[in-house]
Amino acid sequence: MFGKSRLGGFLAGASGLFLLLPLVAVIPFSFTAKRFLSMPDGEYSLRHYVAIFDPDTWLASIGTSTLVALLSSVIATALAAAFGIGIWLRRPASGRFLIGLVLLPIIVPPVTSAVALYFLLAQIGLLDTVPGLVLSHVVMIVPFAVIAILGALSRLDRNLELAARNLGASQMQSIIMVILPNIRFGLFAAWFVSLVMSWEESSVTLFVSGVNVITLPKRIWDNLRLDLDPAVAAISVIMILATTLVILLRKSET
Amino acid sequence: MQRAIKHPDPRPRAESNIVPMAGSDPVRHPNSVAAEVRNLRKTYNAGTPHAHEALKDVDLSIRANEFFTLLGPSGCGKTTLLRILGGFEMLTSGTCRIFGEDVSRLPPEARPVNTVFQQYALFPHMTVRRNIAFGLEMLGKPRAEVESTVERMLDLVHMTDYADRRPDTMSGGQRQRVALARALAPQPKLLLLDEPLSALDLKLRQKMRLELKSLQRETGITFIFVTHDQEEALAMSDRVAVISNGHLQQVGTPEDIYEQPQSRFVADFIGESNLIEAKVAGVTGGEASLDIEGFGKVHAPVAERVEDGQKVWLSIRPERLVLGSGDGQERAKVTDRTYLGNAVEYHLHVGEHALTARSPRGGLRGRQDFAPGDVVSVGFEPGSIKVLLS
Ligand SMILES: Nc1ncnc2c1ncn2[C@@H]1O[C@H](COP(=O)(O)OP(=O)(O)OP(=O)(O)O)[C@@H](O)[C@H]1O
Ligand SMILES: [Mg+2]
Repeated sequence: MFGKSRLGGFLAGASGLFLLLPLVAVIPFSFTAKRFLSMPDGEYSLRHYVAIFDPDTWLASIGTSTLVALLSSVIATALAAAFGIGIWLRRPASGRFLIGLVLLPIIVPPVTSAVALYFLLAQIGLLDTVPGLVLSHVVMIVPFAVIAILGALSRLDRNLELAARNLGASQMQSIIMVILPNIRFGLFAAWFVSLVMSWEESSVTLFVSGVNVITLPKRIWDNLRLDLDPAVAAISVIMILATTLVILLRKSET
Repeated sequence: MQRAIKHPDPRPRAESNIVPMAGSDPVRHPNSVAAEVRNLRKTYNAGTPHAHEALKDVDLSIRANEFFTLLGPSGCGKTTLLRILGGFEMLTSGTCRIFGEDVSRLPPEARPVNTVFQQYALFPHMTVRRNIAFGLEMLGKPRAEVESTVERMLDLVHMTDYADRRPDTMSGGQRQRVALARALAPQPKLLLLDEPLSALDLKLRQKMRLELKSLQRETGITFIFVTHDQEEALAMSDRVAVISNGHLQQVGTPEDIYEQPQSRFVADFIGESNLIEAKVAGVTGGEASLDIEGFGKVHAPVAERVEDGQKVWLSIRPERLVLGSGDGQERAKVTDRTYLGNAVEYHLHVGEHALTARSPRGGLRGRQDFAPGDVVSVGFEPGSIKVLLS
């Protein structure tokens, strides 16, 4: 009826623009020549982009965030795979309950998790360390990895596992040679989601680290509150570009 | 996670190579029993409100080198029995032996059994060749042997041209062949097949019937074949077990099952049968006189003890009814006539009873054609009446 409705196109475009505006607005700020966050008035500079490469501050935080994101996403994916496959194979009566338990961190307010993790890490002496931060991130992102993997498993034919066992594979062999290869897209999705979520995690991070270990979101947060350093804008622009690139790459794949 | 039981080579294998090619000797285990279940019961969800008895006290003995078929309507427990033999399902009570060994506690990978699954269950991430090699690799066979066996299997099922394709790019019949090759490659002593032909069209199904049968004969592997298609069961099997509702109804050769049904269920399920209620009116020397209401008396042998006045059922195959006219005995009315190509089917009313008669055309033994409305006489070929007590 509306076919190639002009109104529809207009509405979609307008709302898209509305959503993008705050992102686009940050771009001019990053090119200011001043030392504080402001619109450039006639003078443009790349000095804040150069500042990103300061090994003591921004670069260090980028490194920390990358390390923590890589470690926690791999660990979370492995744990989620073990949990999901275990449930899928065993189908225990308590399966639904266990899944609910694992997904709990999604529902619980982040502050609650943060306080709990704070006390746990303080107990075991891992407060403000990379292992402690990785542990916290794993707890927070595992539910999302579990969702991705359970989804992939629900589409897997149970008879494949039986066929593998029937042909002489042990339980472990059938997991490695048949189950894992057939949920590889789910594993990748779980890992990718975990990576992104760990990279941008800030609520728990603020509680359990911040002096010795400073992730990128934490440094941005600190800067906005204390310095109003335009490097924040420069970082944001780079992240927007990186995200756009990933989306475009994924699009061209399909 | 289930513990992985490691046996050096846990699966007793067929001794000789099962090269099903000219000149090779099939494996023979004369007189031995391939699989045996005693007092087997299986209750799903035992102890819950959803408890369901899928198998009720089944006793079955399957001989080595036999083509054995489990036949029964949908939901009667055929797959359940197969899954218990394969080790995918725990039995609730009873015993289950494979080549003499009690396997009730063995995991599936430690049983000398391979399975062709109903939906084939080919590994989608592997080529046809890798699918077939899987079982051999799991047995730790040397590479050269794996490769040569895979080639032989590809050849056997005529799939050499498809060796490097993936299962999802193939037709149902092709997948079925690959599934068969994959299950045969590790040379199991016992092959379980769960309705492997049900996904194929009629022509291909008939062709695969013959191929399966000759494959079984050539390899000597014991086949346990599940189907709900009675024609398939009669055509392929050495022996058939008829199951209904978790109960074993009858076990025997296709001829036994067809000619000597022992219950109304078997008579009705296998082929077609006229089932008529009758009363016993005297027994002399193993032969009973039976009174059919509205028709008269007939005679038939009885194996079991029956008493005068007892209610029994008579089963008569449609092709063994003899219709005639002109002898003054006309008591049946033709209500319908159906032309079937190789035969003509007549529907009759005899008193209260509706009967079906089938007669090959051509007037053999005085058979002639009748039209609806005709009044005819009905006779039974000698030995065609089976007396059923249940
Ligand atoms: N996992 C299960 N849990 C509960 N009930 C089950 C389960 N599997 C099968 N059943 C029930 O057990 C009965 C026998 O099932 P089974 O699969 O053995 O039938 P079948 O003879 O193979 O039928 P079909 O010809 O349709 O494949 C059915 O009534 C079915 O509903
Ligand atoms: Mg079935």
